[in-house]
Amino acid sequence: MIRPISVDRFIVETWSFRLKGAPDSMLQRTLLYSRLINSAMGMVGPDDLEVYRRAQEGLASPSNEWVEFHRQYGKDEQRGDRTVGGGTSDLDMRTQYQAWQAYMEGTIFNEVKNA
Amino acid sequence: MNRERIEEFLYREADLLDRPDLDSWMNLFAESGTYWMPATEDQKDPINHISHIYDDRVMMEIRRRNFIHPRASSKEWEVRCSHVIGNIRFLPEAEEEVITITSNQHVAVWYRDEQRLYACRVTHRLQIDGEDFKILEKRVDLINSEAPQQSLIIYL
Repeated sequence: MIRPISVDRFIVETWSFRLKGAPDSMLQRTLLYSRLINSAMGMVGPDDLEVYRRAQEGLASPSNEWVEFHRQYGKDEQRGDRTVGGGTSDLDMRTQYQAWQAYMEGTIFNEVKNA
Repeated sequence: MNRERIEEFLYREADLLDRPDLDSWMNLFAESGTYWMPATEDQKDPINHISHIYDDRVMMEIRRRNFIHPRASSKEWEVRCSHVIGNIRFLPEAEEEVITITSNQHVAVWYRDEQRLYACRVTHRLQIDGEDFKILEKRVDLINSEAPQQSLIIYL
């Protein structure tokens, strides 16, 4: 879980669950995963955090006013009730911001109210 | 047991981490050796509770390679450390040819344009190996083990 502290600080929290009746090895495996991936001393965490930090430093730069979310734009695939993007697509970011805009403009609120 | 030889071993180990020289440092460990940094005070075991790190020799080898990997973004920054070791104490040990020592260690770490200070109580379980020692277990209890930690790419 990423917990924001201020505009340029956050804490990454990891929650591991012990499931009722599940073998101990399940808990041990989830703890192993957290140590290897999420920990501040993990094999992945420090590289991820380095990239977050570089993104943050890029955002602080005045050279580009826009954050680009155009990766794989126009290449989304319609599959019945869902839209699917590729592994490197910004589809989820675009969807998230579209939803945020809809909330901010009250269109979703009005749809619910008028339903 | 000769206190001077054990102190010498601890200083030698710290020197290798200060540089850092992980290749030589790893070789101080027994084949079954482990490095553990718990995430809570008085943590009972490394398997059923979360830790910052719990490495065996296989994981140490993976880290050693990753440490110089050209595409590991966090490793693009140089890291240098300075260990100061004190309050060395011997604990009673039930097994023969095994010694357990605790020490207080203050480690200054230079990484990513910033100098940090870690304070910890370190427990070494050492196998006597002729005139030398092999590390069976190294346990590092930070005084702020529960606190959120910044990325740490080096063993303390």
